[in-house]
Amino acid sequence: MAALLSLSWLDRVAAGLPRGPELLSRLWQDPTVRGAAEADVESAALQAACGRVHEEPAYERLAARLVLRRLYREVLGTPEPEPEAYRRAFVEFLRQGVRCGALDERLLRMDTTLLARALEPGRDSLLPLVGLCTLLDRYLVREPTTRRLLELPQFLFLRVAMGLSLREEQPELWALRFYHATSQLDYLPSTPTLFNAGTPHHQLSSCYLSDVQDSMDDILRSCVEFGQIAKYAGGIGASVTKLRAAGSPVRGINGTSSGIVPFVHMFDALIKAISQGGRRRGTLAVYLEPWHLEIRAFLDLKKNAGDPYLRAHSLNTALWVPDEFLDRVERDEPWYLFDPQYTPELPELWGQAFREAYRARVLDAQSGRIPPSAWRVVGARDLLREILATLQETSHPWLAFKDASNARSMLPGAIHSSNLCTEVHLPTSPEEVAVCNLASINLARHLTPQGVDEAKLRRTVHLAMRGLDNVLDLNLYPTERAKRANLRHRPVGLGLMGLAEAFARLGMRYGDARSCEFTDRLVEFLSFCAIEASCELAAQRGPFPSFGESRWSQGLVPFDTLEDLHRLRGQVDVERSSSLDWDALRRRVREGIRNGTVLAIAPTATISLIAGTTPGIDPYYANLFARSTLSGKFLEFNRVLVEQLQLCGLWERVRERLVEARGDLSEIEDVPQTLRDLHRTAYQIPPEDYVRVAAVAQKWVDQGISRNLYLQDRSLETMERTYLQAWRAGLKSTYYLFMAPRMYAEPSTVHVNKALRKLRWNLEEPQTCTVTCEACSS
Amino acid sequence: MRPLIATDPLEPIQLFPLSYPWAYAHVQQGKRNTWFPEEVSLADDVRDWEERLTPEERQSVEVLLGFFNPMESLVTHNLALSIYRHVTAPEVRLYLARQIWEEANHTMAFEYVLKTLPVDRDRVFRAHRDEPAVRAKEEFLQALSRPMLEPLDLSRLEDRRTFLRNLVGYYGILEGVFFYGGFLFAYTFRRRNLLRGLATLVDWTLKDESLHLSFGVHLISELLAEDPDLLTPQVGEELKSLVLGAVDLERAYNRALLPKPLIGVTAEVLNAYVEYVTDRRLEELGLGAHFHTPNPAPWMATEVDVPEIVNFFEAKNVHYEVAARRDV
Repeated sequence: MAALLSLSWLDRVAAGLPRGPELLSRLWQDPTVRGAAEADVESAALQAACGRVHEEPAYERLAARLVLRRLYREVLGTPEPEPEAYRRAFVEFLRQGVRCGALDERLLRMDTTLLARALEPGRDSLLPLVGLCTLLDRYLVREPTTRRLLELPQFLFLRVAMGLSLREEQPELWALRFYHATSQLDYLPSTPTLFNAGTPHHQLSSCYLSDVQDSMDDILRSCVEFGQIAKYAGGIGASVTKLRAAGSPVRGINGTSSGIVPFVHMFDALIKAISQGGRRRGTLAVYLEPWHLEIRAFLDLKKNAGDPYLRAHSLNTALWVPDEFLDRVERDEPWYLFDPQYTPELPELWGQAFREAYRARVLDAQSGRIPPSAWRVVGARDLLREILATLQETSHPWLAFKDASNARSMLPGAIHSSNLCTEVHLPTSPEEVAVCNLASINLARHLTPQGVDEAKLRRTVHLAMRGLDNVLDLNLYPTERAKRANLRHRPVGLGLMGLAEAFARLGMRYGDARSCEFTDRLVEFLSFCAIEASCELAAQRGPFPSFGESRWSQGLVPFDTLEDLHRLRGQVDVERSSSLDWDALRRRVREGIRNGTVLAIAPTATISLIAGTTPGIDPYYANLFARSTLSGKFLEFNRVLVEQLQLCGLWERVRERLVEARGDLSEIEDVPQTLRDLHRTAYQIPPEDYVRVAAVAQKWVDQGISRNLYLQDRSLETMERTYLQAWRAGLKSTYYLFMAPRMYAEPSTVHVNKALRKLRWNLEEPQTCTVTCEACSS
Repeated sequence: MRPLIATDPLEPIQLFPLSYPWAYAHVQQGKRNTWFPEEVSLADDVRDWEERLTPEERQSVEVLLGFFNPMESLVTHNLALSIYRHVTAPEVRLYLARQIWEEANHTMAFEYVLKTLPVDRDRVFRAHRDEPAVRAKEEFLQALSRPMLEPLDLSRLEDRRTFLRNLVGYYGILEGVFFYGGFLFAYTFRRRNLLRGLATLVDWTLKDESLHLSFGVHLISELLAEDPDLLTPQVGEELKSLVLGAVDLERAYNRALLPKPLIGVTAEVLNAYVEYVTDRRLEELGLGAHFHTPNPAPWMATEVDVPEIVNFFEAKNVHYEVAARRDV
């Protein structure tokens, strides 16, 4: 058993932390730490520290330092390396990595000594515990056969930076720029880029979109393609709208089709089989337009019971909803379902053309020109209710809006679906699989006490755009179709994370008028800078090949397409102010732009953990909550709240109540009302606020936004109102729906006496009738 | 208002108007919590089992499974043969029926784990006979059920006290203490990012058990309210020693479960947790805390207490509800 006195390293680990000695002594009281063998003390202390973060946020820093010790010991042989040793080890890392096939040999052609000198080991401390554990668990490069850890966090940032600079004329210059921006967490490229840049398997793109054609050949080809994409950490969005319905005749086999479900089930099995080496699950979202005859079977795919062959447990489902459907919902009109074999034009049309074609098909059906087995009529409202109830029960299908997506597209060609996370909106065809590579700006790193550091933001945007454009040419494409599409349109998706943290730091309630105004101006600026950067790249590198067919070549910017949506619908519920000199930019755009698309706001579920900020445009889930990931379950705080409470001297008192209150401040009287209003939980924010924040951002974003929704109220009426609002406000899509749980497991660390005080459950307690009326009397 | 326990066990059931709305609310919530073990993939757990768990860790998980499996069926037996037989209020019986289903579902969840993990099945299935500490707990509980296999005469105070002992033994001790220790032990693995599939099944099971316990507390409170002579100080003392006796059994069991410490958990920690939870149950019964042991596992705040947001590509969301109403 180890003695405390001999563990001076523990003192160093706690150095500089608030009340460090106290933190340590409390750790030492833990029997699992005290009783551990000397070699195990570090692990036990790490476990114990992780378990106490809710008592004292400083334990999170302590734990992060313990993780770093482990990392350093494994890679450098000592838990407390000198900065020079860290830097020197980078060159050796490159050599070793190339030798064992983990790194791209082209990295060695750069001036590695110069690059190594720029490494800042101190920046490892910027990483939050959850980010560090995630990097350790999945991102840091390991020796392929022994799985020995080779890479440290600063190595990763530099490795990725070098990987992005392989085709630059001044690779070291750009590698250093990318390194400094990413290692300081100003922006981060997407996960596949972080995984694979600088390695021989340089598949750097996140998102693939495909449109499955109604032939066995194409279905099978899609399988092969999806497998190849999934193997390299790509996520897929696939439209299956064209697949003929069950019972539909199949020429050549003298029989009928089994419909979409068995093929979806097959894709599901394929995705399950390919787990990306345990680093990220194979992921696929299947899209269907709601006029497809098998819409009901599609809704059942995610139910938790029933015939497993009619279910798809791993993949995700989404609906590609035309305006015509929602208009009919609002007018409470009938909705016709069709076997696409008889309506092959419908998936290719949108807007007015779709409406006319759809109505023509309705007449065809009514007059017997389409066989009776190939169509059906339902109530549009009834179908929407079923969709919404299913969404509530199974969190699927996500709702995306076909006409907003197509009306506001800058590129030629129909958009048949969105992607896995609903933020990518790109056209697909039998010859082209759309690809998008992503990166996200960390807004929290671009703040001043009053607002946004615009000069810094502009610099970061320009740098990120260059990195994104580089990816297009560096990328290892899984198929010809993907390569062709990507090099032709050169779309990229720059997004942001940390919006909720920015609101909190700047004293704005999520979704109030100020925050919406802020978001509007911010995303306008983001869009402006990104387009500007892409124009500058065009001046150096040339415009994207299909530029001439795009709306950019007419001198239009994404904001202008809002007018198209307006004309299509007669109204879009978002105000249309702008504040920057767009005319000047329009003129530049007409001369040439490098990228077919520039912005897409992704969920950033994992990279926000690395950056230590709130994901995408999502709020803090609660002021204290746990996050479940592949790398573990981590406790998180609303750090801004903690800082503000510490400033008022209220933290100690509130801390004790926070677990019991389940992260909800509304009943903690010690917290001033202003802070309670500012720091609401995700379920306390009204749904219309979520729509408004996304709507003002969507004005400027040429692709889409992953808009998660959080609902307290389970009534379908509320759901209907919320989704119709989202549609009317011009959102292109929505993403996951979180419903507030009505109950939760009995808490462990909180004093509970259910006989005296009920748990904060929300069970539906029926009223006891005081009068026996006809309904119940015999 | 009808009583909880009427004279005719076959009294015709007319659910409405309700006399015990809390019971009906529990039924509705139970239904909404419906889950199936097959929703959780155990592929990663298998890999953990084969590649990352030490032999000692595997052995202790086998003891855990060896305990849970027969216990779930004991609860089910007791619900069906002892409690349902005597309680007649229809809304309360409806919940008991629901609880029976849930316990059966838990049994099937453990079977699902046992069939998927390459465990030593013989050892697991024999544990409740071969492992003295497991057998002792089982016999303790069976002793509470046996007197009720022949119907009690609930007009007699003595028999009503037997009934109360049974409720305290099953809701308070088995579900409220024994299971809770087991859940904690399962979570010590998830803390290290191991056996995440099993932990998801435990999440669901714990949620179910929380609802059971809430029901049990209501039921016992209601019983005592309707029957003020039932809980005399002497009866209170007897119940308390019943509970404390159970804790002794649990200590022996924890030593068998963890002969040597594992990373992050020792028998000492489990025992302290048992004492902490037991105090809670004693207080809920109005018998007063006994041990005053603080919770030795603050990390349970992360595992259970705080609201959870799931990256649904990477973990299972256990918080959805089924049977959404389509009419509002």
